[in-house]
Amino acid sequence: MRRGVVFTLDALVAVVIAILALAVITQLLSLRTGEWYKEIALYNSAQDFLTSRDKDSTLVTIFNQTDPDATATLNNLISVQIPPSMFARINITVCKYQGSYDCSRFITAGQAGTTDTKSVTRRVFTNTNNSYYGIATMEVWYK
Amino acid sequence: MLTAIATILFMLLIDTAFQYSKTSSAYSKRISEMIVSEKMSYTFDDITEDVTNITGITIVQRESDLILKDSFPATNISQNLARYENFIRWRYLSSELEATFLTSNEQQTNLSNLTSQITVQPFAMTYNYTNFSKNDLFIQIPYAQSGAIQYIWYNISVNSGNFTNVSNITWNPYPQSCVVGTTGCIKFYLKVNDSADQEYNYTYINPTFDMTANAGHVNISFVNQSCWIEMWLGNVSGQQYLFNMGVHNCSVKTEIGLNLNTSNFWLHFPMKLKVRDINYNTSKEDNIGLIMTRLLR
Repeated sequence: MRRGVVFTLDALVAVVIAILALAVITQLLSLRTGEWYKEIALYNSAQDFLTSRDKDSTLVTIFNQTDPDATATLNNLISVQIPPSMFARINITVCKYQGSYDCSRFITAGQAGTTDTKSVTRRVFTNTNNSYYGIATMEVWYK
Repeated sequence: MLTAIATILFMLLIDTAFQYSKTSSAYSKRISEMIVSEKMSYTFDDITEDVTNITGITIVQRESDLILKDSFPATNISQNLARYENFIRWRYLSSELEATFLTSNEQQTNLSNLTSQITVQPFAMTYNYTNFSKNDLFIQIPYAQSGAIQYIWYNISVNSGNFTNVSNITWNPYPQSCVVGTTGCIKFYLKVNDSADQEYNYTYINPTFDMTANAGHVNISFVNQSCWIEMWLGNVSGQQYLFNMGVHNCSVKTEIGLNLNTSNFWLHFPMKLKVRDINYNTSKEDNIGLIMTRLLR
């Protein structure tokens, strides 16, 4: 009888410890430490791409390009600048101020990824003399 | 006994895992804060770059040369700044980011209230217009800082008329020359082109002016008599000018270059921009700087 009680307590303590260990391990896994590294690299790629396109006037040139020309230009630049280990897609919204903002032109280039970890960066660009305003949204994934 | 040892070992294991968890958690927090900080800086730079473009001025740095390219007159700059502010609030800023424009006294304001004055630091030199209609231009530097300027060049192109008579262009009075190297003495080069690409050059040998002496003044007229420009170099009514230009019914492009004694300078408007991440309650606040294109010589 006495041996049985000790054994039961022993088993209970083991179960409690096992649950605690499981909880800690689950928490560790949920931290996804490695994912942060990936997210920084993705964020930097997206940010560098949009900054370059703003500074080399690719984005403001889109105001005066046809949609197919703009898409071709962006596809070409994505293939050159985005690392081969990543997928990137850029969405451009072009607005014209005519008393209010008419944002009816949308351009997409690049290719979407399928993995969960992605980074999204936005950039605003404008040619106010012609009342054009644009937003570029860049999404980058690992392959 | 064995149970006790096993329990202690388990507790040690859990403690180690817990410590690792805490360290990893702190690390993840630091990384996420780093990304937030980068996002704020990126957004700040994105907006200030557009503000520079909307004001229509181009700044180039080539080592210790500062080159300011501008067009006169201008239209709708304040209105365009207001529309830009509306647009970024409506379409650009994500829900977690907040942008606020502030006066130098930290009072909230609108971008359309941007004052038409650019300050070049660390010299406290100012480049300003009466307003963003850009019918005039005033460049000033504190007397004690004037030694920072090795020389200045003024290239003025008038696109809306031909000189009435380029050989009749004369200063009245001429800028008062001075000894290079003394405080307040500015060495300069000046040329004006008309729309037929005729050129007027200020042809004095080693041209200089004393910014404390009464200003040299020139009035240049064009075949289209409604278009004329005037310029002063020096002291006008107690105000010392490196350059003072009035533009009357002309379309003018200017390139004003300063060779300075350092390549470490920066330009900003008097207004500030504050970008804040609402979730992390961190922010970046600074003067709205003008974006410079840096060229190799």
